Parts: sequence; structure tokens; C-alpha cells
Amino acid sequence: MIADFLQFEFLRNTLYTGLLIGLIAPLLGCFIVVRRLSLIADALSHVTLAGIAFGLLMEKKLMTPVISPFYAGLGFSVIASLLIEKLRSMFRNFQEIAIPIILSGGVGLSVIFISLANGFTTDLFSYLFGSVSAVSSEDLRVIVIISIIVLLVIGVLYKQLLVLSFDEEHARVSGLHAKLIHFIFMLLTALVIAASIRIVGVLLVSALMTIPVAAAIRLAKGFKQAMILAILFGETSVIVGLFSGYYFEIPPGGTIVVVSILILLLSFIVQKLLLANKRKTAFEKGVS
Amino acid sequence: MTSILQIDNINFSYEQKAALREVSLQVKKGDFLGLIGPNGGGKTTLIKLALGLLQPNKGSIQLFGQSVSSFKEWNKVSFVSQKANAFNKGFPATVFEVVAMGLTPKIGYFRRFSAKHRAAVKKAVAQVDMSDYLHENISSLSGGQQQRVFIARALVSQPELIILDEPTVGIDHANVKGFYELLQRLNSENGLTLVMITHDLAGIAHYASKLVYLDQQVQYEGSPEQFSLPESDLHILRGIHA
Repeated sequence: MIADFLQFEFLRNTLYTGLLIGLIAPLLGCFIVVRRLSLIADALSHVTLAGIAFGLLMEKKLMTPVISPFYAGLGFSVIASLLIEKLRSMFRNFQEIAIPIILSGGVGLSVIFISLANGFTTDLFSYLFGSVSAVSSEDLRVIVIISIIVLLVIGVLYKQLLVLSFDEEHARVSGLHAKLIHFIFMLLTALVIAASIRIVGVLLVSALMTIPVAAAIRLAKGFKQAMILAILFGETSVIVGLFSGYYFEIPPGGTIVVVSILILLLSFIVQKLLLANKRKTAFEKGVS
Repeated sequence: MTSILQIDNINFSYEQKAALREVSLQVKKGDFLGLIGPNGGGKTTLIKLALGLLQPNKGSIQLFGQSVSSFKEWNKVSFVSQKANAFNKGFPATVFEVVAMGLTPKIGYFRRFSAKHRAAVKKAVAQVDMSDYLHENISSLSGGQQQRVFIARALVSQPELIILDEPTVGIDHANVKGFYELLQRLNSENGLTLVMITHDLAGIAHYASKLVYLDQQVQYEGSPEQFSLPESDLHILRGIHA
């Protein structure tokens, strides 16, 4: 099975893409989770679906590729990230309302575009749940560029993002460009979602950004350790999920999410064991 | 003595509601100023104005001799809020990481965290007696310990002025005394200027060098020893509206 992934180009593309999103999705996910913005990833992914449906509609109606579904999804996702920010500033006391507005707007547009295209195609199904055979060389090139951008920006803005995530008030008082950093962060989120949909699918992409992080913060001491663990769990989920998806002929989005949930359950058990061990040591110290 | 913060005749209102009227105040180098007053008396508003987060309708504010609107040397000023209460309890950050955040504005975007910065963090943590907890998650500490960590985060950039907004809220009584002693030590030994908003009149009167009572206007400014508030008004300071 591993030989197949090395032998066929489309499977190699999938594997490389998987390894890249297994790195960047949990990495950015760490900031998304601690900033309590997990649902924003969901809203953006649903708007990405609208973009993809728009791209597919254009392909079908015009018979010539004007804009590929991938780029249309990417464009819609970036625009939605700007709209979310606008709505959050307009409803300062009810900021979470931006999420259902954008999410339902995305689903609504998707339904319209899918209907105009006269129904559900197999291609759209692969966008919804991911596919082991959907990544073209062109897709891989774009995903490599997105990954480089994400790694560079997080490398430069790591300290500032951490301050902003931990204490927004302190960030503003310290003279950090909080608005600009948040804006860049939202754009990165839109890019990572667009990069991940080929493998995990629109409906499950936020899972790869949040579940490995949820497992990591149960076990980690400190933010850096949480990032390392989240990436480790993300990569494990992607690799095991991809191979098992290919073996059982199931869309990899489903298997990747199931593996990451298994890792999360395992983290609960390990945390309990660590805690029990700590208590035992403390008790023995107290007795002696 | 040099004036660190100079506030002259400021007025400020939220839409139509006046919050501060003709407020003037001076904080000199080495002061430990306690800012007290009833809820809605404008204490936090005054601090936000001093930090340049709000603009006054009238009057002027100077930090280190410069107008706050054009002030750039923010590394000279640190702010500690009511974090023991408002802080996200599950945040996975160690004491080291939290204190290091205090250096972020100084380091900027493109410089890396160096051995010199690491040493500065360790020194600040030692100053608040938390060295044993350097690699513990902040969420695993008590409210009093967490507030010490936030003081260390404020200290790490070696500011000349620290502004504290009700830092003792959420800290149990036993730890409050130790917290005041820490502030007094930093004030007397390190020459740090402190401005602290509080409802704890008994505590602040014992440790501060100067007291200001603010209820939209400055009602009292002077030594804590000479300050007296009628018994009937004491509930106001605890924030209880009877």
C-alpha cells in the first residue's frame, strides 16, 4: 500500500499535501483554539464550499475553466474572513453572531450554485469529504506556497500572536498592532482552510485545526509544547487516515477525523494516568 | 522630583454622561499612588486616558514629559489588569512563556528571543519569588500566584511606571498582604513608580505613599494618614451599593 503512494504521482501528491496540512492546520489551530475562534474555521470552510460550487458552476456552464473551483474557494474564504471581521466590529456586544451569518450565507450560496449547476457531481462530493485522488500537481504547488507563507508569517509573528491570544488588552496597551495582526491571522486561517479541503473536505476541515489541539492542550506544559504535540497528532491523524481511507476506499476526511478523535480519547486516558501518578508521588513524599 | 504622569484639567464623557470633570493629578518618580473611589467614579477611565486608550474632551495628559497622544516609549510603562479573575483558565502557557510576553514589544517583529532575554525573564520571576514555578502552566497556579506572574511580566521590560487596575480582586486574604509587601519592596528598593486602583482602603492606606479619592472629580489628594471618609460612605469603596 505504501508502495502505491510512492509509485503513482496522484497518490504522491496526496501524501505530500497531507503531510503539509498535517503541519499547518494544527499549527494555526493552536492559536484558533486558545483565542476561542474554533467556530470561525467552520464558518470559513462553509463559505469555501460556496466558492467551490461557484467554480464548478462556471466550469459547467461556460464549458471552459474561467476560475478553478480551488481558486474560487480560496477567494470566497478570504473575502469571508474580511466580512467576519467587519460584522464583529459592527456587533461589538454580540461578536459571535458573525459566525451563523457567514456560515448560513455560505451554505445558502452553495445550495444556489449547486442547484444552478443541476445537481451534485462526484467532484463536489470529493470537495465535501476529501479524496485520496483529487490533488493535482497544480494544487500541490499552491499548497506548498500556502504552507511556506503560513510558516513564514507564524515564524515572524509568533510572539505577537501569543500575546494577542493570551491577553488582548495587554497587547493593545503594549502598543502591538493588534488589529493588523488579527487581520493577518484571519487571512492565514482562510488560506489553511483552502489548502486543506482537497484532503479533508470542506465539512471536516475545522476538525483538523481543532481536535489535535484539543488533545495537545490536555497534555502539554506550555504553548510551544502544545504546538509540537498538536502537529504530531495532526500528522499521525493525516497519515493513518490517508492510508486507511485508501485501503478501505473511504473518503480520507472521515478516517482522518476518526483517528484524531481516537487520539483525543487516548489523551484523556494518558492525562488521567499522569494525574494519578502525580498524586501518588505527592502522597508518598508526604508520608516519608 | 521628576513628574512621571501629569494630568491637567481633563474632562471626559461617555456620549452624554460625564465621567470625569476638571481632573488634575500629578504622579512623581518613586510615588506609590493608591487611586480609590466609588464604582462609576471614573478610576478605570482615568487610567485608560493615561494609557492613551481614550482621548479626553478637554485638558492635557503628559507621560514622562511628553503628550500621551504622541508618546512612543511604551517600554517605560507597564499595565497589570484584574487578570486573576478575567484570565482564560485553560490557556496552555508556562510561567516562563507568560513573563516572556512582557518583552514582546521591546524585541519587535524580526529579532529572536536571545539568552539575554531568557536571563531577564528569570530575573523578573525571581523578583516576585516564583522561580520554583518557572515551567509550570499558569493555569495550575492559585490566583495570588498568577497575579505575581503578571507583576513579573510587567517588570521584565524594566519599566519606570506600573499601573495596576484592582490587582487584588480574586486573591484570598492571606495572599493579599504578601502581594502588597511585594509592591512596596519594588517601590522602595527598585524606585519603581506605582499607580494602583483599588477598593481595599485599609490595605492601600497602609502601603501607599499617596492617596487620591476620585468621584468624577478629585475629592482628596494627599497622604493616606490624613485621609478620612465618613463611616456612612465606606460601603461605596467596597463597591457595594446599599
